[in-house]
Amino acid sequence: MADMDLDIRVDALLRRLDVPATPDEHFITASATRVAASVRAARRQDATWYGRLMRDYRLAIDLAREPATRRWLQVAGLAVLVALVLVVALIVAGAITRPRPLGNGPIIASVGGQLQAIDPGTGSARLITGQNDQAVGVSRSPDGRLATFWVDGPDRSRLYVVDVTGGVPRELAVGLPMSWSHTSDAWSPDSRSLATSVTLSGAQRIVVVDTTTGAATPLTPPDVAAVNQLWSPDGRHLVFGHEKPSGHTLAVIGADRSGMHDLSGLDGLDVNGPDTWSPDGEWIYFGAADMKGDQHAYRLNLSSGSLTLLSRFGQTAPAAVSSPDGAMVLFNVDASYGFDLWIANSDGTHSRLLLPAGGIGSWASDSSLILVRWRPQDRPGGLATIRPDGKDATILVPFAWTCRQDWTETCESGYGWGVAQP
Amino acid sequence: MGREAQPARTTTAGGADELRLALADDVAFDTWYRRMLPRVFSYLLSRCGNDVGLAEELSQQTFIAAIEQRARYDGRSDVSTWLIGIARHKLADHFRVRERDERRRMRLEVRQIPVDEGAPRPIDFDERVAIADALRSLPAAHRAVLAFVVLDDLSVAEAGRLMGRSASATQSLLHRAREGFRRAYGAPSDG
Repeated sequence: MADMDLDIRVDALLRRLDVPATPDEHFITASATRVAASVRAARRQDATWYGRLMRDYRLAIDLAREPATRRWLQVAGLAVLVALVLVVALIVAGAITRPRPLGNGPIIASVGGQLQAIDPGTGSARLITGQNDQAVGVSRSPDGRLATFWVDGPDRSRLYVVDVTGGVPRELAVGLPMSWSHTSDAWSPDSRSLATSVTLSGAQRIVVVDTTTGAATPLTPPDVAAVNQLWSPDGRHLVFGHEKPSGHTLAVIGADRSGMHDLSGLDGLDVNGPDTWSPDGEWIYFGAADMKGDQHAYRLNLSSGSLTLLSRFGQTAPAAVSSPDGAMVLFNVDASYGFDLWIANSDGTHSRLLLPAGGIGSWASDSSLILVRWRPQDRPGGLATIRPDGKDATILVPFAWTCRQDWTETCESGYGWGVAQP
Repeated sequence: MGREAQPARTTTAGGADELRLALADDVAFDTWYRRMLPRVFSYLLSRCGNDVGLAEELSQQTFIAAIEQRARYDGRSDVSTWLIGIARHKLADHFRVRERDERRRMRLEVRQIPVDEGAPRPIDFDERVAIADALRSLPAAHRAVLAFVVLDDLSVAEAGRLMGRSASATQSLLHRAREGFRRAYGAPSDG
């Protein structure tokens, strides 16, 4: 009790010190000058986003270092920081190891009969294999890892697969006496199988080749002259063209060879395609001649059988290629010097000229670029890329006059970019 | 916090604006600084045992720290309360450094504690000077705990956190600090 009294007295004494005090005027002036320098520095710091970032960073560090900050709080803060670093590291590692986007994968082209991988961004080319200088009909798998090509021989055509990074080509469907039809081959969406149109034992048939085992299986019956095959987006069906007495039409068949039937809604049309299957599986895009013989670009709805005219009246448009995202469609329009490349919304609205003297295009799988054989009148052409807005036209494989007769002017005899092409 | 040094509350809601305007230009800052400095200086002077030089140094450090930490001020208290809070931390830092120095010196010399409880007061005895002298003669940790618990009215636990000690260690330190002050000042037996 006596101790408590003494404590109270001590405290009372100490509190007598707590009185207002006036600092010395000289100190006020001198310190105001020094502190004002800090104020001006603070104003400069607050004027930029970097300055504000550094200011807040220092505050956070100072807060963590304060002795009054509880130990558990410091440990928790450190744990959160370590967790954040780990998360960032995982994200970075994931980004590094993630497969390259398909749309930016290499274009595989046979140039001068040799297979090359062409970077669509820089145009730089890398030889995949120079072992065979007769490569035609190039296709690239959607995953960008494999390429197939044909070599025509006197008795039959031979189909090869090769890793796009290089290596020795491996023959597929060995021993099968088939002759390639010189139409575009189609890779299955899972990049395992290739569907191709061949003449087999005198019949025009679609054959599906397993690119891993090399086994080939005829898909269509021998009595249907099938050509121009496309896989459905889910890989469960194929659409193809075939000839009937009334003209060419389209048919669908299951990948397991079941349920083959003609598509309805095409009466009166002589179909050139099919050219592309929309990513939602609802539409087939193609070119066809109507009863007057006029060529137009169309799309057919598989559910309703309704037909949409994509090109304008008066235009001759023999093919239509839907973008992989389903938003746009490309089609060729006949011109006196060849073709112009047009682009429109997928329903044909807002159609416009994209590239004069451009052949039918092939899309990059991210729909960001279009690959086109470009034959301008006023400058050398070649295999070129262009953006859907008409910008950045770039020639990847230039025009050359010294090509073999059966090659294109670019000395290129087929290309593949992992996306269906006419 | 000590009663006399408790700053008068000004605007609270506009505290953030007040600080922002004060830092906006040199003239506004000078006016604001001259208004705020006496409050901070008074707070520190008493807790430094009337050591004017130390109070001035810590006052200046307080304002520079306040400007560096301007983004942390949310305007929920008035600006002077916020400044006093920073000053308290500066004081705690100072006492911590002094305590380390004292520990180092203690290894080299035996501390002489003047105990002259029976000595008569000088005729011109100024009580506040004597209190301040007694306070200054105490070890830094004792001064700190007296400043925070007695003058600032912090709880023992709060003072302990500020000084980096447990509540029980701070309670024990407070007991020794009061005893040390009593010896240094002369037992206040009759108030």
